[in-house]
Order: sequence, then structure tokens, then C-alpha cells
Amino acid sequence: MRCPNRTAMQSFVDDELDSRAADAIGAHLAVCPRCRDAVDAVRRRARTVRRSLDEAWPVVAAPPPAARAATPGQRFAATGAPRSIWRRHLRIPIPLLAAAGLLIAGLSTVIWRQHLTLGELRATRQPPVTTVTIAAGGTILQREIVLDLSRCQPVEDTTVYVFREE
Amino acid sequence: MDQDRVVKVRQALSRLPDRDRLLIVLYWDEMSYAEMARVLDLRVTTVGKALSRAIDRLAALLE
Repeated sequence: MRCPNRTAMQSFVDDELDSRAADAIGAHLAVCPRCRDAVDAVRRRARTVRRSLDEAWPVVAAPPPAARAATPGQRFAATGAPRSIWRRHLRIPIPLLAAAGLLIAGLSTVIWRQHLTLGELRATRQPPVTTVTIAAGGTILQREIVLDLSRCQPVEDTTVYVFREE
Repeated sequence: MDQDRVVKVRQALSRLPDRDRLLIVLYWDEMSYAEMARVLDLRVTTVGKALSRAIDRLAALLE
């Protein structure tokens, strides 16, 4: 087998290859120290990325035991947050900005963003998602992923307030 | 992790192109490629390629 490319190495590390392809790469790694080193580097990089994000967005409040994710790895599946599939939130300055916008430009655009937890994202059938930002500074939706479907400003380091749809 | 590092990680993630940032976050959540493909309306092979690039980009920004 020829040396696997970067994508194949990533898929191998992530256990995303079928068993035949994975076995072929495994056999190749046994005889190719260069690729073995490269795969180790891919593995380290993936670990660094995940660990960095873990540390940059630590879980602040543990969810109640009953709400914990049923499967490992679903970091956002159980946040203790309300469980409605689609909710809307509005950044606090936006009502003022929107009102000003209405007065100044005569536009009636109020910027809404739809957001959902990653657990909900798994369950919903509304692709494609265009952007994602992380509400980092807030306490209400700490660790909740905000899907910015309207390509507005990022909402990082802002408090996110949730308005349930009636 | 010290605060400088936290800021660096957050800034690095925010600098990524939208799709890269999405892929990284979903990867962080340990979504499978098939799940990412469904959520992002991409082909699974595209997820593999794009994710590799996104990880490399973020890792470079974190160095």
C-alpha cells in the first residue's frame, strides 16, 4: 500500500474507516516509520484541539444526574437547559439597535438567531447549518452552541438570553 | 490553563472560516463524520477532507 494521505490518516485516527481500509493502513504503519510518526502527529494534534477547547470552554455547572448524556462524548447533550428543539435568543443590545435601525433606515429587520444545543442539533433535521458560535461569557446558556443562521455578528463572549417560542 | 491561553484558543477558533469552526466544534463533541455530514449537508468524504484541514488550521493558530 502507498502511504496514506492526510485525510486518510485523520479518518484512521478517528476510527472512521471501514475495517478493510483501517487494516491496510495499520499494516502499512507497521512497516513505514515515517507514516507512523505522521499518524502520531495527527493523533496528538486532534487531542490538542479537543483539550484546548475543553479548557477554553469548561463546563461550569454540572447537569443533574438524570440529565447527563446517555452516551459518552456528547459534551453538550445535557446542559440542563430547556429542551425545546428550536428556540430563539436575542442579544440584549439588539432591541435598541433594531429600534434605532427602524427609525434611521426604516428597515424592519430584527436580528434573530436560532440556536440549539448540540444534543438538539443531533436530533433536528434542519441542515445545513451555516455558522456556529459559542456563547462563552454568559451563564444562562454556558456551553450552549449558538447557531447563527443569519450570518450576523458572532456572539462570543456575550450573555445569551433565551426567549422561548410561544 | 492560564487566561492568556484561554483567550488564544477562543480567538483562534473565531478566526477560522465558518465551516471550519463548525466542524471543529462538532468534532469536539465527538460527532461521527456521518453525523457531521448530515448536520452540515456535506458528503462524508468532504467532511474528512475539510475536517483535516480545519484541525491543521486551528493547530497552527494555537502554536
